Amino acid sequence: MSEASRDRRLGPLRAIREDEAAIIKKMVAGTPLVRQVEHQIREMQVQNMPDGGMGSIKFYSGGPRSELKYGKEIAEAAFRDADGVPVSLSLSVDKAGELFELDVFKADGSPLVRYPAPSEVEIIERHGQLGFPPEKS
Amino acid sequence: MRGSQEIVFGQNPNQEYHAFRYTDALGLSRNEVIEVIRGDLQPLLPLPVPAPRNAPVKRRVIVRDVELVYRAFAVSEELVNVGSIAGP
Repeated sequence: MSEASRDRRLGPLRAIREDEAAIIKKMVAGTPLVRQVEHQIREMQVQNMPDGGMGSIKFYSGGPRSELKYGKEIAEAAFRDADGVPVSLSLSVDKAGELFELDVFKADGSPLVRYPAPSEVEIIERHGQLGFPPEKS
Repeated sequence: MRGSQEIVFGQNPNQEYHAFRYTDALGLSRNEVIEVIRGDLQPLLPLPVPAPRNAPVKRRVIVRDVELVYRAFAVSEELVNVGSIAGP
């Protein structure tokens, strides 16, 4: 991943990478959103977000979508980067239900060292509760 | 500074921009958002290192009648990073 820069523009449009798509599919697996999300992954392009190299992407839906179009988080996951730092993933849709962002938040804000394999990612379910997620049962 | 952890909202301009992108779009004052989140988070300190299940603490606050959800990680025993503030 690139070094943090002060460029706050979204990156150029590109196809979603296979590793990104695999993570997103894992995040929605077993939910009623699977087919809808998999269809949108195939159809939509993405742009890198200016997050300092953490790996966040914004889905492109035929035109610019400001943050005001944010709808809700539909899935959450977490993993540990190659340097041992925890990373949180949040997948969201816009108010119309279209994929909006995959927000990547590394605990110390440093650039992602290595994009995770799906097997390294744990789905976090909070069951509507705030705070820390419950212990895995 | 309870629990000896300082609360930050990103550690460089890009991270700060990323953290505040929603609240900036909503026209909320960063200082006001910071004040409300700090007030909410302070009683929970110290946050554990490492984070349970590698997941951040997630909390809901209201700033000027706008409901926001934020995520925060303890970076160390001295530092907590709020890196994601979303909503409504």
